[in-house]
Parts: sequence; structure tokens; C-alpha cells
Amino acid sequence: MSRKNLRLVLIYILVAITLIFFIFPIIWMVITAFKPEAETQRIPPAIIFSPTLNNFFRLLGAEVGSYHYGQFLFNSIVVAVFSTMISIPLGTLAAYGLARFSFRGNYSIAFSFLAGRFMPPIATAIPLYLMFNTLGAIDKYHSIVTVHALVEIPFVVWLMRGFFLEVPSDLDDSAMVDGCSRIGALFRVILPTVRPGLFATIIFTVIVSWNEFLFALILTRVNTRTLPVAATEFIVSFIGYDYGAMSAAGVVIGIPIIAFALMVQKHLIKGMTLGAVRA
Amino acid sequence: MDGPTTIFCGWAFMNLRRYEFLLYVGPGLAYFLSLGIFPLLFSIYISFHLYQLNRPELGNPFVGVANYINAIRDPLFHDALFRSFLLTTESVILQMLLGLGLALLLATEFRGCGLTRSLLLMPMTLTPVVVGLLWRYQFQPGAGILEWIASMITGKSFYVLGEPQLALHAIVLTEVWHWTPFVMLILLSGLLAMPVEPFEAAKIDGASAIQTFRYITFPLLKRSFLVALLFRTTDSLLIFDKILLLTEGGPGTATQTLTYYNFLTAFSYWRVGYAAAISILTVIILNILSNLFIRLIWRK
Repeated sequence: MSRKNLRLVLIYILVAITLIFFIFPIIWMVITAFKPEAETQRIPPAIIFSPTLNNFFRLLGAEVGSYHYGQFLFNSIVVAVFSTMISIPLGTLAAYGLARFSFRGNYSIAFSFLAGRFMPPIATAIPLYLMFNTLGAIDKYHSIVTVHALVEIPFVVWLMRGFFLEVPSDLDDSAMVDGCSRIGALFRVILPTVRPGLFATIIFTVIVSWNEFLFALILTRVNTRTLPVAATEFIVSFIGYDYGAMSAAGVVIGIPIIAFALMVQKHLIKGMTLGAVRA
Repeated sequence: MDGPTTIFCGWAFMNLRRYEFLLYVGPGLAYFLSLGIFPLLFSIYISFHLYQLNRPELGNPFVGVANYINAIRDPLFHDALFRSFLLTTESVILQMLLGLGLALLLATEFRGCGLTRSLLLMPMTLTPVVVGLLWRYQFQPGAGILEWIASMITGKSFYVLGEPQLALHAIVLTEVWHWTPFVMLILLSGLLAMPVEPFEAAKIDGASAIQTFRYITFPLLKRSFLVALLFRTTDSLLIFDKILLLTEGGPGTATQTLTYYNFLTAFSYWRVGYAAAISILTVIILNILSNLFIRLIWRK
């Protein structure tokens, strides 16, 4: 065997090990979600079993534990959608302002938004809990929606600012010469130009809200609880484990997000690093 | 006759033009400040007062820096802080080394490299809570495959998350699984964006592979390294969801990290004034750290 072939074989072996380590646990969770209850705790695991949707029906329809997971799925969607509807307009406008106007404090403002990403969530969670508690807004959609929008804004500002900076400002100017106001130029010319970036940013804010845990844990109770918070019930209060339903919950929470992430694959790292990595 | 009016209108108009940016930046900034910065100021206020939510009869008297002094004297806080640093150091070093190795591996062209890169996106986008559930299952004796394989190799079965000496390392393993692909993809995009010329020059000059890496690849990758370090260090120090899902801080207090302990003081013991003081200390630590990195990464 030539040296080149040997090298290629070595690469394939390493890639195989890597993929097994990183992907196997996810595949295993998906398989477990479709197993009948008796099979979920069999060691060594049965390779052949008759797949069932029973775990999903138990999770979303009837009751697992004391909760109704269909409601929590609905809550997660509501919170993700409405927080995005706040953060995208506010963040996009701010990003446009920061990208197109040079004024004193431009960089300071941009970097304050950036610093928001590195703010310990617990530091704002404590005072926000007290404030919302006083206002009677615990376990209300609007409290968790506004806080999720706050968490999303740094991402929106930095991602959209990057996309706007990629568009030459001559485009705004020529649109304004043609009779658009600046706002008109933004909506009629610039936003359509950055549409793929805007789409990626929207998907991204949905992912951020969907995955967020600490604020949801503190600000929601049984009515507005989001899926990730509800899923902790499998750990915290169960007597004996229900691996089937737990894995089904993992699939319901995890798989849509993986699908979304694959949709914006090209921008994923850029998004997660707020544009620090450009590829 | 209308001279002064015109001048005034012109002046007002010019000034309005100067502040036009506020029309765009203003709403977002106001939202950000009122919900992000104002609560933080409120939290500083709380941290100087007694806020014992389960004992409202005590009221909220001003206590000066007592909460901060308590934090400095509290062994549980020290342990939590130390544990967070330990966990961060261990998991970030592993993630950086593994991530670099994988990035170098996947930077080579082979059939299926695109697919491999896409597949490796999966762990890092997975909801942290699901990662917790997933690994709790894997670590469970009599249910998890990982535990089964480990018990076959070592010949004995044990619950890693129940062992005080091992639980923290089990959490490190989970973190490494979750975030190594993230580090890998940052470094990979750095590698793929590299210019070819220096490598050709090195080849002509007869540099060894190690020399090429040390003097060309590494310096060019520096920014990517810093970006990965920034995100992994700050997020690791604040780890919360995985702790709750995997160990709930246990066994005993063996895996109580900074944010987890902070959460307990606020929402289990209801010592909110004290919790606010701890969280302000956390903000200071995180701010120093992230500013250091931000300056290096985003300097003009």
C-alpha cells in the first residue's frame, strides 16, 4: 500500500471514531424514543425491537408525570415567535443605525450590545424576578417573551450590522437620490439585499429562545413553562426513570432545532460567535 | 425679514440630521438598557440590603457591604468559585486540543468531508437541557450504553455521577462532547481562510510539518483561537443547566458551580440580597475576562 493510501485509511479511521463519539448518543436517544417501555432499560440493548410511537403519545397527549407536554410545546413556540417579533425589528433598526451613521459613541453602543452576550444571566434574572414578581408578571407570556427578546438582541444587532456593512452605502445613497427616504431605502432596497442574512438571523433568534433555560426556569410556572424547563421533571421529581418518555422529550425539543440549524448551516458559526468568525 | 427664522429652521434641521441615528439605534438601545442595565443597577441596590424573601417580617434594611463580606467568608462560595475555575480549565483545554486536532483532520480533503462537517454541527446546536438528559441516560447503570461499555472494560459497575471525585469530570466529558465541534468549526473556518503563499514559501525553504505549524499555521490561527477561548471560557464559568440536569450540584456539594450556587441562594434559600452580591461579583469577573478578549479580537 502506498503512503498516500495509508494516510487516507488513517484519516477515515479517525473520522469514523469522531463521528461515533459525537453522533452516537443522539442516535441512541432517537432510537430509545421509539422503543417500547420494557426495552428502554435492557442491557445489553436489544438490536431488534418493534418501534412504537407510544412514548410520544404519552408525552404530548396524555400525562407523563403531572404535566401536559403538548401545552409546553405550544408555549415554547409562542415564546420563540413573539420574542423574535420584538428582537428582529428593534435589533435590525439598531444595526442599520450603527452600520450607516458615524457618530460619537457608535462603537461604545455597539460594544455594549456585544457585552450583553457575556452578561451572566443570573445577574439579571434575580432583579427581573423581583420586578416581575412585584408586577404580578411571573408565569405570564409577556414577561418571558420580553426577556427572551432581550437575550436575542445582541445576536440580532451584531449579525445584522455585519450584513449591512457588507452592502456598500452607495446603494442607500442612490435609492435616496431616486426619491426614497432613508427608511424607505432601508425597507425597499437594503433589506431585500440582505434577505438571506435576515432569514438566518431570524432562525438564529428562534434557536436562542428555544434553547434558553435559566430565565425560563425562573420566570415561568405551570402555565407558561417552556419545553426545556418542563423536561427537567424527568430528573428532578420522578421516582424511577421513564427513559422512553424522556428520550421522546429529547427528540421533540432537540430535533426541530437541529433541523433549523442545518438550514442556516453556512451562518451558524458566524451567528454563535456574533459575527466574530466570518466564514 | 424671515432671515432669523430660516437660520433657526436650518440650524434645527442640521441638528436633527445629526441625531437621525437615534431614530434607528434609539428603540433597541432603550429596550436593551431598560431591561438589561436597569435591572443590573437594581441588583447592585439589592446587594446592599437584606432581602430574605421567605422572611418578609425582617423587612429590607440597608446592611452596607455585609453581603459582600459574607461572600468573601462563605466557604461554599469559595468552593463553587474554585470548582467553576477547575471545570472551565479542564474542559476548555480538552475542547481546544480536541477541536484543533479535529479541525486539522477535517481541513484535509477526503470523500465525505462536507457531510462530516455537517454532522458535527449536531451536538452544539442541541438544546443544553437535552444534552443533560442524554448524558444522564448514558451514565445510568443498567440503562446507559456508555456505562455498560465502561463497566465491561473495568469489570465493575458504578454510577459516575454519584461519585464525589468523578462527578465533575463526568460533567467535563459532557461539556467536551457538546462544545468540541463548536471549537473545531471556528478553527476550521480559520484554517480554510488561510492564504496559500506562506505555506508554499515554507515548503520551498524546507520547513518541517511541526515548524510550519509553529511558525505559520498557529500565528494565523491566533484570532480564531481567541474567539473560541472567549466563548468557551465565559460560558463554562457560568455553567448551569447541565449541572441541574446531571447532578443537581451533588453528590453533596461536589458539583455546585458558581451560577448553580448563586441560583440556590436566590431561589432555594431565598437569600436574595446575598445572591445579588454574588451575582455582582460574577459580573465583575466575567466583565474583566470578556473585555480582555473582546479588545484582542475586535480591535480595529
